[in-house]
Amino acid sequence: MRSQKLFVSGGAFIPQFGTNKNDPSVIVSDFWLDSHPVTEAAFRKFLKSHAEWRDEKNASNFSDEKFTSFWLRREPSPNRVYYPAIFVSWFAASAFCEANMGRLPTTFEWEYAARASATKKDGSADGELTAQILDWYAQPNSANALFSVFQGKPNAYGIYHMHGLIWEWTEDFNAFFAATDSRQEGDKNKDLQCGAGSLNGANRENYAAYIRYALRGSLRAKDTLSNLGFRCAYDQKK
Amino acid sequence: MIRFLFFALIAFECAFPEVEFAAELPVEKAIMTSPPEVPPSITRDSPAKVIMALEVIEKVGKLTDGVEYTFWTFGGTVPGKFLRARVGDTIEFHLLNHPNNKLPHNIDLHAVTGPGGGATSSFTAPGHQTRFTFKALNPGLYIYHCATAPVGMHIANGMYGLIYIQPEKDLRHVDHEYYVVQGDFYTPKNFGAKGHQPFSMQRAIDENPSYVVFNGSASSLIGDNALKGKVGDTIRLFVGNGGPNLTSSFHVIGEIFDRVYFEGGSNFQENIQTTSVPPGGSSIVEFKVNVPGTFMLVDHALLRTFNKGTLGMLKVEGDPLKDIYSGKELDEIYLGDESVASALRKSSEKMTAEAPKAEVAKTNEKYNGAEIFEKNCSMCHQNTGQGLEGVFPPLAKSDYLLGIAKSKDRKEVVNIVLNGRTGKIKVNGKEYNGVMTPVSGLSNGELAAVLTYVTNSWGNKAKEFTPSEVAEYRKKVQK
Repeated sequence: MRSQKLFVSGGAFIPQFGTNKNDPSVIVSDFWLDSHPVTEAAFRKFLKSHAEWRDEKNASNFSDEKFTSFWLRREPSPNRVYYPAIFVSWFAASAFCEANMGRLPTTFEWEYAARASATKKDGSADGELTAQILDWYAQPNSANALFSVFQGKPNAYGIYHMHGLIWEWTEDFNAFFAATDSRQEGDKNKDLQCGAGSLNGANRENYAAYIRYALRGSLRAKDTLSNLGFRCAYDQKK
Repeated sequence: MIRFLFFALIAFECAFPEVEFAAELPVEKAIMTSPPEVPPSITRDSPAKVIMALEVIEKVGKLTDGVEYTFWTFGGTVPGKFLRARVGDTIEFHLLNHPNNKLPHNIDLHAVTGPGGGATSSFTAPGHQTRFTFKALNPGLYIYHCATAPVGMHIANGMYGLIYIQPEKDLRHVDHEYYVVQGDFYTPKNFGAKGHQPFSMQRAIDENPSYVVFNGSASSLIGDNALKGKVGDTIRLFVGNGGPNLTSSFHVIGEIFDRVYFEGGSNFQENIQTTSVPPGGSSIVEFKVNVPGTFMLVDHALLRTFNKGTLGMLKVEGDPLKDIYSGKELDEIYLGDESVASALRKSSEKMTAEAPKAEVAKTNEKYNGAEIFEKNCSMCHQNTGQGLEGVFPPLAKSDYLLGIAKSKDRKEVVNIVLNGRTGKIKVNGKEYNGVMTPVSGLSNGELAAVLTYVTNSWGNKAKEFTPSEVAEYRKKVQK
């Protein structure tokens, strides 16, 4: 089985955090998205042909010690070949996608494709879906071992594991975490602390979305996590 | 040159007397404890720089026997570690998010004066740590909690604890200080459903918890985990309420709080039975344990205690003080109405004594003379008509009664019943000088029945009384 580039037909939707208070909905243009998260095997292939990422000193400018330790110092395990690639920074993920004629999806594109349930492209009315997603967030990491991206079932777009396996980078992951020190009156304080975060959310009962935005907002471009990976988006099929 | 710098320093300090050079403050690491323990009182009398480091750990724990839940914790416990400092201290706060955690977290300490209570400066991704510094401007007992969206879920999963900022002069000495925080938990199924339970967002929004517990578990303060004390000890409880939704009506069964620093503030009220602890709030309660026993900590919204787990125990050992609490002194039968009581007493006595042959008393068709007698007369004249020597004259074989009952004009006996009798009478050779109160509410039929019964029981024999006869006498003796 292989990851494919799937067409996602554009449209309007209401993300948890939009750009315009007056109109909560956002329009996403047509785009293509990887059907599966990028695998370890695929990322190792990228490293083989990109020496600058194998250079520890160089890599440390664009990632952290965990990247170096996991990708550059450890022997790859044959069991993990199709596991999602983890311990990758935003820089590393962007570089990979670029090398594959793509880019990271924008947060809106990601959230748009992720709103699908197993049967419906727009699963935002599906409370079950939100509850299932929340359950995964609530379980400790130890309970959720990684597994092959080629297992499991796709959503209505044919996309696998938008939820339930790993967190994923987006191109503008930190656009929704505005400066938290706002001294001006009437400033649109979009930070995700307490009241400000909750009151600005489009759907106050979409706890799963809050959690995703909070996670993305807590990261910096060099950071890596044991459960943070990515997939690529494309503006045309190649 | 040195002298110049020295004078410059003095001049600077005089101009800005509040400026404490951070370098001048002594540095100490905060002593932090897991619940239910509290760090010792800080004895220094000047400010210091206090280093506090809290680690966030997401872990599976026990809500009650057989029920597991994924808690998000400060320091591995619910509530998180107890933090203690002194008013005026400069606190350097580190928040560490363990790399095994799935989510980012931050912290809002209610003791902080500053945006978000520290939350805006402590947003920490997993596998990272952050730091900020604040000055403890106010004394008091304060809640701290995570404030990362969705805040309700982070708090509902156990991310709260207490930080105590001692006033300049700390509270009076007590023998024990303990740390108790109530919280409400939300799972799709009700209390006790076995296995690992997830968080239910809908029940949390509906404010319908399945568990309301102290210190993160229904079993945290019971049995072997009970708080302990000895007779005569003074106890202080630092009580908090993490919520997220419910207010606690905190009460210790069998104890009265001598002092309550209500809402964790600077003043105290005395002699309090139950005190309100709102979510995101606290209270300091003090009491002396005078007698031994097990004293229950509860939320006095009692269905939570009985059905959702808000129960803790304080076990006090020592010798009893019977004049303060005697324990059960008496336990005997209670029969309600006195006539029934005496009837039962008499009937049990009768069974043991050699009883005269029970006469079948005559009864009128409609009314049961024996019943009427039992209800109206037996309390004084007794069930077998023997009366009470010197007090109530007997009816059994009473020459006085039978004298009237066997004569032609028997109105006197109706007179006695309807109008009462006072003054000296002689019955069977004995003198009685008492008061018989009138018996009211008897119809002619009822009166006839009871008179017939009395004059034909216990060895008595006389002509039956009829309702018409009684009616005639009634007319004559009516007052």
